[in-house]
Amino acid sequence: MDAGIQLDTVLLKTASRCNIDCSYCYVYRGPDTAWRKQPKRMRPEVLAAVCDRLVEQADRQRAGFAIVLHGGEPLLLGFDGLASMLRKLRSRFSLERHPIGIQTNGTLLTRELLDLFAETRTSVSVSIDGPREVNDIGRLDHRGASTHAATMRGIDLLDSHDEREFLFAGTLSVIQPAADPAIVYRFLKDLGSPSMDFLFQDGNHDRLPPGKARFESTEYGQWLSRVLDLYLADPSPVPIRVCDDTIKLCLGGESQKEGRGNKPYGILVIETDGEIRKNDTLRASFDGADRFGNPWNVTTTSLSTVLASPEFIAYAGMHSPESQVCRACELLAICGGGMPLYRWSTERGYDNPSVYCHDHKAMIRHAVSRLDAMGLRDALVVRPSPDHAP
Amino acid sequence: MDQPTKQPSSRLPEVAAPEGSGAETPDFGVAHPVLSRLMEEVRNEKRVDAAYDRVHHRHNRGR
Repeated sequence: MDAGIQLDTVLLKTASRCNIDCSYCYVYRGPDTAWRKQPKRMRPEVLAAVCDRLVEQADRQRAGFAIVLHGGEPLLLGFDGLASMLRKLRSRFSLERHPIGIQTNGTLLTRELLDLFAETRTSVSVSIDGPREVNDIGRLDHRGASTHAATMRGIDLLDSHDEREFLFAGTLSVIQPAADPAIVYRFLKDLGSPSMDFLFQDGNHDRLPPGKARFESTEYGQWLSRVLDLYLADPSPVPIRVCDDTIKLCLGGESQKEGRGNKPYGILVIETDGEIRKNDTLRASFDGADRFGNPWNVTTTSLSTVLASPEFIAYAGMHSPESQVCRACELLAICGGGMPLYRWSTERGYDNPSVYCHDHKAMIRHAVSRLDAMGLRDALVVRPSPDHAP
Repeated sequence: MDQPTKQPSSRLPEVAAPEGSGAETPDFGVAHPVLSRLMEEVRNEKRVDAAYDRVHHRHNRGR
């Protein structure tokens, strides 16, 4: 068994293109251009090497890890490629220790694919930002047309499948700060989403995120605070990851996902040509930000070699912020400094607070205040602020 | 994985949503559906020798 950082999640870029063209996409609309040189789809010999490397890694570490098919749009790999990969993976990995999931825009889902996912116990998370008028702000196709109806068709297929309970993992939505959070929340609830998550839009100190007026403003923090209120007021809530992580961290627990809390995550990305990379969200910072100095590839290098390397350890350590502002902040144990991509500036690298620092503070303060008002003061790891009433 | 001995945190009370707990928090009459679940998760994380398994919560990752 290897000591040190273990693999939490491996993202398999089964396709390095997308059939839609979201305005906020960190892959195709960001500064990174490496995808242009990647094969459009993962080839059979790479798929085979990926499976072998994952089996090898599973034997080397005590904890399981999640396998997430990602892109681009992972369904662009096509039925045959997906069937070959998923059947091979599932024949060698148990559902209990190695969940397999797909993050998709939902537009290419078919009954045949869903039957395959049910057979291979592969869950599906769908990206959708809300009702059509909200979704259309960012999620358009390459001709500028709405993708909402196509996504809804995919969700309807998912929702009506006999194995829906297993298959439908939830929805993932990028925050559109101009949209009413109550409308988005109600829409996703009515959709039957079994769990939700909300993401910040990409941005950094060189390029402010859309809808954020300045570093000190709190548009996104206020938006999430409103979602937290809706969540806590809902008599039949479904889990909301960003709210759950915030609440649990305020109560001394752990986060489930990177970007909150102070625990490192072992995340690797495998590109369509087999190249092994860092967390792909880093590529929103600058061209090549997610590349290791070594050109590691699954066809030549074991994942344990990468995980044990000084370069990986340094990359995993990035979750802990360099900024003295962060290190002195009483909320650091909750926000963890946020995801590294949001800390970037050309002038200071990642040695900045998150561009969402004030949004994190606003939401955390709001959560603390709500939990305090609900009788949980003694369980809180952060003192309620007297000037922040719920 | 073996089920370890449960050791509840002394800091986490068995709390139901109290009356008057916030302007938009209704009185559910039973344990709060969000908080009771999350507090149970935090208690489980604090069990002796428990290694909280994060991998089953990793679906909604990326976009």
